[in-house]
Amino acid sequence: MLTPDLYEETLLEHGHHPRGEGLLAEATHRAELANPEVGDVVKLSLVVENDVVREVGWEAQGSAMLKASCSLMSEFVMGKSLHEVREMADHFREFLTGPEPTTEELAYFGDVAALSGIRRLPARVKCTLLPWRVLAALQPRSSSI
Amino acid sequence: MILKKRETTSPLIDRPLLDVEAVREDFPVLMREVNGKPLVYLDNAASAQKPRQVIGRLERYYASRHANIHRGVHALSQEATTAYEEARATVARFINAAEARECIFTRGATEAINLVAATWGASNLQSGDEVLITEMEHHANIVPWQMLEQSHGIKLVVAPVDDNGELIFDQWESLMNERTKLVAFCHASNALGTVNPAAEMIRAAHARGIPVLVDGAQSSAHFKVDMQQLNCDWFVFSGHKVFGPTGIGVLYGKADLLNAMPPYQGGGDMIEKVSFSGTTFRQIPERFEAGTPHIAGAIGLAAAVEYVERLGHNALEAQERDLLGYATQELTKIEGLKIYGMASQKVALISFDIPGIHPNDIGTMLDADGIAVRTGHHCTMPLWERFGITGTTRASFAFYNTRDEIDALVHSLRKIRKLFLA
Repeated sequence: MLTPDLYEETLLEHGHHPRGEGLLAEATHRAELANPEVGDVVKLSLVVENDVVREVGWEAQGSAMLKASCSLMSEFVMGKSLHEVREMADHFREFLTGPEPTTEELAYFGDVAALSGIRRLPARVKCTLLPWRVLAALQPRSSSI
Repeated sequence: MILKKRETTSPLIDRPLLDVEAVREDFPVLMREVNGKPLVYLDNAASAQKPRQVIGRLERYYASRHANIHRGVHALSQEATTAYEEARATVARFINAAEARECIFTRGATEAINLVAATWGASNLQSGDEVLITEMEHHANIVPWQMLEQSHGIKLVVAPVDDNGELIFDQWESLMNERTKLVAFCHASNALGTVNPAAEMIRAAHARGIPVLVDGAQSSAHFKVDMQQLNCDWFVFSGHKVFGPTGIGVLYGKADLLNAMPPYQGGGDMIEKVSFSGTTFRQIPERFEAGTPHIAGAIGLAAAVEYVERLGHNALEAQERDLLGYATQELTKIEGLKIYGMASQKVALISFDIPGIHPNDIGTMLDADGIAVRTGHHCTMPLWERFGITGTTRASFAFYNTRDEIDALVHSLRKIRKLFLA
């Protein structure tokens, strides 16, 4: 059975031990996005140095799936360039909603590939995408959100 | 086969309790599996399933009687017209309207409320006038009035519910004043199950000369609604929640009131005479049925309400009372589970929350066990704000549900609880 496995092996692991939970006081970049119709909210803060993501912190209201997606996203963007991170939103949407991912794509996404089963739960795709959509909305802190 | 079915179901008419296994055979979808498990359909408040009697009637209509209604001189058109108008008469009997013409076919309850807001509301309400609703309304009975707040400057006044999810009657009553021009409320709450004391509320509003609109989307599927007894001015419901097709619903209104309302949409069928120097409109029901209506939908709805009438409201209510009582008792045994909506009068639905587990996770996990529930805000966002949550998991029952299905729900919830809160 797909769903309980999905929850058990990946989502619950990240749900019980979320990586990067909590916003960073010293963030250089921030963003916030919501799916108001279901009450999901994701706040994201990054420390970027020399165009490279050094630290990630997030806060989320929503399901275990949303939080697991936040957790996986925060591990994934660490060490990547800001440019690459911003483009990740589209890239991940394509990964989750496009054709079945290729072996190369699965390899590229690493642990995040565990989320790819969610493509079979169309009602849950939107909440899984939210933490990644936030990446496209990142603004330098000076513009204050 | 069909004959045999009739033989087995017809003796049910006067029985106090339903032969649920026989009734379930009338609903083909209940035989299917979901995710390798037998379907347990507990999302009836969102939309009920359809018996063969409805599906068959739709098929026979399209296969042998379809044509456009009204003004056709050929046989098919006359047959379709007769079937459509007979459907109206059947629906009128179902809700005990004084006359069939008081039943206007709409797309559903939502369109019916919008029709009243856009016609009666827009032509009778002015800046400063108040519309009194309750905190437990569905968005469909909030937003049309909010649109009049924006366009006409009216004020929407909201009466609170208590912690059990019951309307605080005295407060509701005290909110009526000389500015109150309309009272609108749900007969039964889709989110909490609460059944409002409609007759008493209608009497209280009428005593002050205020007309009343009742949203019957959740009541009409569960118990007998009687327009002449209720004496409300408008009553709305959706076909798909009473085991009929989607896309068809009913606006009931008192004849004089409806005829005094300006038309909703303009077009064919709703006119007496059209000329470029001026057009005159017909009386009800055509007045509010511009264009080709959902003929098949109306005929399917008639088949659905005939089905309900044949089983008998007493039997359906007894079965649903048993399900509600049993489900309340069993769900309450799950540690931490909190039920929202503990009114003394409820329709058979239970909204609940298990702290620490998001409703969407519960819904997805239940689905993996073949159990269909609804999760989220159930189109009553302001109500959940009052309770300090964003939504719940809702199991809603129909007469074809069983205690075994409730056991399956409880078993699955215990498993989910263990997985998430371990």
